[in-house]
Amino acid sequence: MPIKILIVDDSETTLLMEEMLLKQYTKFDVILAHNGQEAVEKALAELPSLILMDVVMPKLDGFGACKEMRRHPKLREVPIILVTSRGEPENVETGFESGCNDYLTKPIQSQELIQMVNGYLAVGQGR
Amino acid sequence: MNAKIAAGSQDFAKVADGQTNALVQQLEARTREYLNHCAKTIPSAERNTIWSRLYAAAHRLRNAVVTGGGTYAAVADAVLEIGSNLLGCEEIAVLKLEPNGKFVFIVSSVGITPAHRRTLKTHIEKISAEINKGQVRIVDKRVPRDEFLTSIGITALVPLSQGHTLEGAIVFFSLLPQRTAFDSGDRELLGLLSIYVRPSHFGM
Repeated sequence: MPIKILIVDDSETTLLMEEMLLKQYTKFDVILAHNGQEAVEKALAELPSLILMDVVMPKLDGFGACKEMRRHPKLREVPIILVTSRGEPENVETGFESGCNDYLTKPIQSQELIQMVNGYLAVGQGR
Repeated sequence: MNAKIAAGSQDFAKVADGQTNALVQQLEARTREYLNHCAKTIPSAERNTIWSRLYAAAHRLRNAVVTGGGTYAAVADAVLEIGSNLLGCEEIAVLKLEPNGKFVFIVSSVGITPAHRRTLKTHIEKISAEINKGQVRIVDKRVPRDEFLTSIGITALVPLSQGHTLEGAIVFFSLLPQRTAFDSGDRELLGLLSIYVRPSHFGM
């Protein structure tokens, strides 16, 4: 079964960059969502192995989507990395309280993204 | 290296309108070119991040011209997204330069405060003069010639031309806290905006 990564962002620019990098440098399948609500729906339907998610989004923000996902047994253990331009300590704290595993700050660096994704999926596969 | 997106294999839908089509084709060529460069570098290379950002920006502008028909709102959204997500700046204004080259006014903005507007209004002639230099500027507070732009909080200035006529500019104010200054990689992205964000998109 292919390993899937769900990328969630209301910014088409970020989706384009992250999707390209993951398709170029990893073997994982990529699924896209444009807001938190769509992310929860797609996560439940596709059961990704990792979720990269923006914070500030319409309908349901990244914190809310994170909390919602953690309520579902099938998504409770899926690593969630919040990818945001809001890297202030209070936002990071809120992110961890909502159930995320890690933070990446925009603008994204290629190596940082690929290393973090590979790191989480390698750990997951080793369990 | 995975080749799911093979370099140069980007497929784009065709666009009908002649003038728009020419711009779209240029942006698609740039998108492919940047993708090719990405494919030739590894993620740990500093250039990879630069090529990746250029790829995303060119592709995003292309999509704004195609799906938004090159309208003001579509291109403005693209510029905001590129500024926020790829440059780390969420205080951006698009300025129009009057035909006499002396006056400017804001035609579009994001994250611009009343204080920014007052500043732009107060220093309108000096800002016009800076735009008229016609160069992409990353403001360096240590450089004497950037003293004025530094004093009003501008961190970068991107002139917008139509043919050989300078018609406006994109000005960037404060960067997000995680960024201390624009760098040489950003200069390439700002250069891309100066070429492909056409003043006509903003109803200039």
